[in-house]
Amino acid sequence: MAKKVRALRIGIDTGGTFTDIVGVKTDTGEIFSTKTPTTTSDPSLGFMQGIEKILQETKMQDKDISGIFHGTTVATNAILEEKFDNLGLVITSGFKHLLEIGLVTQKETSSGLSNFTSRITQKPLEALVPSERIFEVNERVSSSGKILVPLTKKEVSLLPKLFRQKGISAVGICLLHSYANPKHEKLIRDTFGKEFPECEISISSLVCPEPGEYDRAITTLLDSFIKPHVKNYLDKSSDKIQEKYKEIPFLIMKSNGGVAPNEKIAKKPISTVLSGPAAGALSASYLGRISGREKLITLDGGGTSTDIAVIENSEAKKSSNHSIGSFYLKIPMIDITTLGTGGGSIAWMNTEKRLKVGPQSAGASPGPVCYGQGGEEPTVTDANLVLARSPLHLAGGEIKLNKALAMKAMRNLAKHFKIDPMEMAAGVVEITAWNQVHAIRQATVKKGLSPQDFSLMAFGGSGPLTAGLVAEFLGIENVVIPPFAGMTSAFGLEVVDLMNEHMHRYYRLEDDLNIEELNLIFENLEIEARQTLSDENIPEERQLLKRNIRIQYENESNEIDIEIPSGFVSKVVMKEVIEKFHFYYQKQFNKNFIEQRQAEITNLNITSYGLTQPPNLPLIPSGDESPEEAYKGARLVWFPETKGFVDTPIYYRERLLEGNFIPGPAVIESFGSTTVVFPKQEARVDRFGNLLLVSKSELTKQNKRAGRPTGLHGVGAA
Amino acid sequence: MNANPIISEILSGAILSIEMELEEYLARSWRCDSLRDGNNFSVKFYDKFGRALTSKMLGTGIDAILSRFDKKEIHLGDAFIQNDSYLSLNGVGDSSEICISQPFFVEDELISFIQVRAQHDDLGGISFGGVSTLSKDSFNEGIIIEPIKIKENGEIREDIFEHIVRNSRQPELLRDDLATKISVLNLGAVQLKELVQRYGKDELKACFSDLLNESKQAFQKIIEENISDGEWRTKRMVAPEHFEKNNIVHLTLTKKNKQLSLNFEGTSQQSEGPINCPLYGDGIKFIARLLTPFLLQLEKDYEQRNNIRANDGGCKNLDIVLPKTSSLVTPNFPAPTALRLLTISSIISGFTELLFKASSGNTQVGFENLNTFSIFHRDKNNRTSLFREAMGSGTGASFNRDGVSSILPLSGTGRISIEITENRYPLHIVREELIIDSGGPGKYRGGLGVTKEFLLKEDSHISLVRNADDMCAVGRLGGQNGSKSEQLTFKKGTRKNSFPSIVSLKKIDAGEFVRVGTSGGGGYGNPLKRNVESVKDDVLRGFVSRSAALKLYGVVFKNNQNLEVDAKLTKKERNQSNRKKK
Repeated sequence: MAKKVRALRIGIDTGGTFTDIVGVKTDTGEIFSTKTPTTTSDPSLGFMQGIEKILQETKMQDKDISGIFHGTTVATNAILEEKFDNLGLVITSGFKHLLEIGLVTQKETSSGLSNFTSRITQKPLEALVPSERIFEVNERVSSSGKILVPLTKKEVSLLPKLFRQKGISAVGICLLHSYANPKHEKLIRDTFGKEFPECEISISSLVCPEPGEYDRAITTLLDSFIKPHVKNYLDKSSDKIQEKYKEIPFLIMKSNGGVAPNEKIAKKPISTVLSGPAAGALSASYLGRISGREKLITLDGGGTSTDIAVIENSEAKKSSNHSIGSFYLKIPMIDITTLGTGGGSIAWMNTEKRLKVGPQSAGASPGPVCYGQGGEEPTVTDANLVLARSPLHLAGGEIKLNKALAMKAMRNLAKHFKIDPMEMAAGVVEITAWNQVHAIRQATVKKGLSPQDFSLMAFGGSGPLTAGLVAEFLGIENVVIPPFAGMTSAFGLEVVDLMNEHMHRYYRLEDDLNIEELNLIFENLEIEARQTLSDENIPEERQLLKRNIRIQYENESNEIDIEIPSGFVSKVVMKEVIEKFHFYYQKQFNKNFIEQRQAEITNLNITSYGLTQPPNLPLIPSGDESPEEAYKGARLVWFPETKGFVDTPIYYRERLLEGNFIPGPAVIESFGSTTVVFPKQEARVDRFGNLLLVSKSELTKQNKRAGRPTGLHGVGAA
Repeated sequence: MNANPIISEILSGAILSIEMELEEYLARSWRCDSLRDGNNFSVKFYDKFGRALTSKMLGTGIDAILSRFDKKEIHLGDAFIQNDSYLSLNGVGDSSEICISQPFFVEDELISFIQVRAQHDDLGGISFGGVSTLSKDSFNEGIIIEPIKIKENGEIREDIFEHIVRNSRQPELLRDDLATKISVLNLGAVQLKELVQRYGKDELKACFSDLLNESKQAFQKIIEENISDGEWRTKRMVAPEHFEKNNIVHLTLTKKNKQLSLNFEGTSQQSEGPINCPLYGDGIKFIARLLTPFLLQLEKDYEQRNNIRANDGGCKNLDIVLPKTSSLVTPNFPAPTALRLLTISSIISGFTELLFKASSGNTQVGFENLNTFSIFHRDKNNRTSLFREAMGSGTGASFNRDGVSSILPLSGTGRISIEITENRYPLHIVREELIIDSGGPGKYRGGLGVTKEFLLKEDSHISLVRNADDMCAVGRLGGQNGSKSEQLTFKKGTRKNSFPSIVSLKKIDAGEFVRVGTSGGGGYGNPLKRNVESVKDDVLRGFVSRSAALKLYGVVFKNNQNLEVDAKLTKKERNQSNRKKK
């Protein structure tokens, strides 16, 4: 066991408006958190301020910092800016218009039109890289990796000059079937390394070794595009850390659910898109595991978007297909469904006189109407304020909100529809909840899962405001609002492990398996994985390797990873693996081809972990059923169920004790997040500080006011 | 009836979400090739009168069910199956394009229908996949299923189910795919039930009528603002080199009293070939659903186009008038219909031309979008594979914008990834490119067609349908025509053999190449007026050749690598060409 030293592990999650910082004292497990504004022009400034701020809060010193774990949006922001002028592509000859032709498969999300009509009526899409910056090379590899047409060194040697002449400084290389044999891509990369070293190069066989040339090309191009942005940012931050705090491990959150040292990230920066939401999912799976909930759907509601992830067996589900802005990415990462509505989404009337919520957002500036910065159209945040479900200030009082302005905006909107402004506000929140419901259904049904089998874990600034409704609409029984719900993503950075993936493309039909060969490949992969962990100073007792075999049916490409135990892989083990494959295939695709088609192994891989010492979360003290200690006051809150305003108690989240029982309606406020307990629901506090929302039991319905502090509540007292 | 605006938005969002969710579920469940890789299927929501509520184009209506079954005979737990193109067109495909519909009830009251349309691989007929130029009547085209109950009182009717499956060359795949279709409909019904329990059936009904009304008004406004009263005529030949006589679709578009009307009077007699397209009954709605969305081009604001739903409310603005006697669009049973896609494409092509004229040039110019083919292979173990792809053409240009290249075709499959194709089918793809100079030259250029070249690794059979050789997308106002589509086969080093525009199951040997190319869109305006920088970009991108740039666009390049425009010579060239024209 490692010695107990007084140390501080810092997690920093840079978001669009705020940078969230969580610090955990490794000896006591005490958790501290704070926020600082994100400095958009140079995020490393806010980042350094964050470290300072958490040191002050914890009253610890520079030398106590044991590591800095960071979730960043630099990659995502760079992509969303869409300034791709310096980008070029190398592709197999015969396919120079891939990016133009591939647009046809890009899904339309906004309209309900069939694809045929939408292509004729919608604004035409543009190719990521125009054809004049695409160069073909004469080569060909078969789908099983055999070289059909060798790539000549002579042809490759011409490329760097061509790109240099065109002023291209970032190049993606995507050759057909390179996932099966990366030799040609590597040859081109190495030539650039010698002849044009300042050019950023990404090769598709490293970025996403999977079939599907269009998505792979896009992903590879974006990877190469964001390299300078991410590298600059990480170098700057790491220099500042070096300068101020000397040698401290600096690790970056990846979207696959692990961290890696910053130098490694710079080599494949595309792995950091959705780094923040991935930390949120990881956090949820950790918090779920320690409190005994292995199946969760997360609802991470922010200002402009809401992220959804599915957790089964305490592990966040992964997927290879993601969208970011108008792009589809193909890399294995935690499967986050991002919904373009959040607290800042605007409620408006379209020309068909239909009420709509989003997709336009008030963003950070001007922000919702109640921020008083010039916004005029009511947002979801304004609706919650008008209903008095959220307090008159944000972030523990740092930002004051103007309710009168919000009310005025809501009244204007309601006038168009000739309905009561309060009803309108409640409706806006209800529509938002339904949008979240649809997104959750699609995220689960796609994987063959039913949302009713899960608990809903809601966090983020706006998640816990609607979670109660979302669960009700989905028929989900339990809602969990974790402690520090406003900081859940940053907390994920406290529990994340170091993670690397090592893989070997290996095509074999089940009948042609060579057991010796297979074992040899695994042994070699393991040696490589252990070496990498040791290079990253992970002691042996903290190293963990997991083996996976990726299998598909012959001539298909729906691959499934089957985990296998370490040690010698015998014929018996392989038989079990293939049986499992049929079973999982059935589960995911409702069918299988058992005894009809051969299973085909496509890939052997090892995921290596450098395990982190998870914080020892302190249990909260237990108290009575009545949450008297946490009582803040009461105010009139509007609910449709109560047909208007109803006197509603307000509680401080931080003062709640284990066993406290809160029947709805009630509002629970904390730093950075507000939870609404709807009239038909009740909440309980568990020993980990989780707030658990369920439908009101018969018992509670009979004793209407159990658990609630006695006495009349003054209107507007809280 | 006016629904509460909040509930109406919640319910209309839910309807779209149900459609999408069921489609997601189906996408990962399909087994046959056409559905799994081709994605040629859709889910559509109707009210109890059979009015489509969303913008999906394809799918048979509900009318045939409603006219065949008395209201008392439609029960909770029923599902109806049909593919009879004479009762109501199921889509643009052959007999294996099958629709299954499920009614939805609240407290014994019929509220709506949900329908899955899917193009399966085979349901009998004289050739695999059902489509053949040889078919002489409906009985050659696979089994005909009038609307019948495939499910009753919640139980699948096994005898009927097995009877249908028995008629397919791929019974195993069809059995699974049909079962999937039937089960997915239940998923939709469960969700709908939850919504009704929460918000009440009256709100749901009010929401339906809101959706229809909104669409109706939106299209009314578009028509009123962009089309003045008048009458416009055109005609289209269907498959001219095939079948015994000329088959011509006559179209007359009239705008009068705020209403558009499309009249098919004058259309030629029914054909001996399988291009008959029965539009009576629900077919009128089918064709209106197909054509109405084109009116959206007249809405200038792209954002606003997104807000408009093209459902049966919108379709009400377009009357369809059919000939009173038998014709290509009103054939007598059992005239063959499996290749009616050709006729439907001609109707679309004619309608877009009429719309261009009626709106004084405010829509896209000519656009022919028909190019579908399949490569069928049977291996030693009698295992079959059917690679079916519908490739996209270029769209026509318009008064302010170039056409779009390689658009998704009507039958929905779109592009199938090269790597996936090579992994799953005995095919090697040599190249896939936009076709240089295929877009009709013009001030605004037509979109480009795309070409794909296959090397067959095994002996296979090819079937295809494309536009006839003398049909190309027409350019307007000085803009020129787009290129024609082409499909040919050749061996390395030998002469190329062009296919006729319709081919059924032609055997091609392993080692031969097949090239499929789609047509380009028409151009708009005088090409000599095209922005010089745009011409330069087109040349750089391989959209326009240097010689075409000179000959058609009058753009002269200095003779160097960087393709610098010679402004002086270009001006001179353009002036000269203009004079010559006059």
